[in-house]
Amino acid sequence: MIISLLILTVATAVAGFFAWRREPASLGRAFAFSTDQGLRLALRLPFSLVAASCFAELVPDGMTVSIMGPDTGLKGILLASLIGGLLPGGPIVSFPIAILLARDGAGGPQVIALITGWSVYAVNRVIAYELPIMGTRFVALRLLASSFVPPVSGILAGLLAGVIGWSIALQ
Amino acid sequence: MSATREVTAKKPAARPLVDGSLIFFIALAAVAMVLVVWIKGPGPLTVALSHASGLMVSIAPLIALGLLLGGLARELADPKQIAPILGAQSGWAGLVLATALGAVTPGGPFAAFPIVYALFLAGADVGAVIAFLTAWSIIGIQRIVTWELPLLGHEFVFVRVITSLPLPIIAGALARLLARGPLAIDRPEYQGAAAARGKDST
Repeated sequence: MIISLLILTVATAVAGFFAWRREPASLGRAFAFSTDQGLRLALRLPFSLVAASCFAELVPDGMTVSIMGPDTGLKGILLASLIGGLLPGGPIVSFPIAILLARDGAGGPQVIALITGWSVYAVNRVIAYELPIMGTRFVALRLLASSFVPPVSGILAGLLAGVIGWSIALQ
Repeated sequence: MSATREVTAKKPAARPLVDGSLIFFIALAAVAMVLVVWIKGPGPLTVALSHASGLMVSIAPLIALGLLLGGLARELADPKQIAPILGAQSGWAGLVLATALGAVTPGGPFAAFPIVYALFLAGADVGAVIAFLTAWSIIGIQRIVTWELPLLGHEFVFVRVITSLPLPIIAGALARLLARGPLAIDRPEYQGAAAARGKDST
């Protein structure tokens, strides 16, 4: 958590410097945008966290572990990819769900497959934006061409974490 | 350039702060709380609420910082400058470039899909468009700094992002192969631009 804070602080300072050097007024616009987004988030996030925490309580004990625990392997990764694709809404819904599933015993590669499945399959986004704008054939082509991405990202991340000895489990 | 930037910067402020999605989240939380008390009793509700408030307190400063970084990224990466570069590229280099551009494109689907459509109309090939979309969705830098880094930590993010880097390129290459076969896509006709360019990209 401290390291994340450090990375974010440095990155923000660097981005701020470049934005300022390019056009000093952009700092004000960036700040106004962030404040507006932050206000929206400050209103919604508490409710989405309460909802996600309550739904986590409703999940029967051991169900997360048996469906997408660290020992579920490829089957768990595939299932997590599909469940991720069905998660509705934006990051305000999916990330709290992902972190609560992780704390409830989901494995690291499975959580990564879940997040990537939500990003790539994104049933919600496909219906709301992609189908009307890009058309059926494009959506079919994209889904077919990127169908391998969520499970493969989970598998590769699990392998890399094992090789470099970093933990991607979040309990 | 500054005129269009001012328009995009002001646009979010025009949206009302209290809207349908806020009401949806309040209703969702209320229903979830009622269900927990009904099915599991008041004890688990206390557990859930303390979980939620603990999470809120620990991630709030990180998300605030992430939002500021996201706002700065919007200023640094201008989609209108990006579009023509991507439209002109092809080959593996085009897929790599599309992946990089997708990763730095900020904003949600309401912002990204008009860009994607414009790229497609302007003559970007379907593989590059799909590499762009895949990169935007799985390694989008704005979402990573706003959400993933604060909530899931740097080790998780590092491992996930490093291993995901080549995947949009592969998806784009696959899309090119598929588009040559059964899933050929006609570029949408758009004020003569597509007709003038012809079907040259495949």
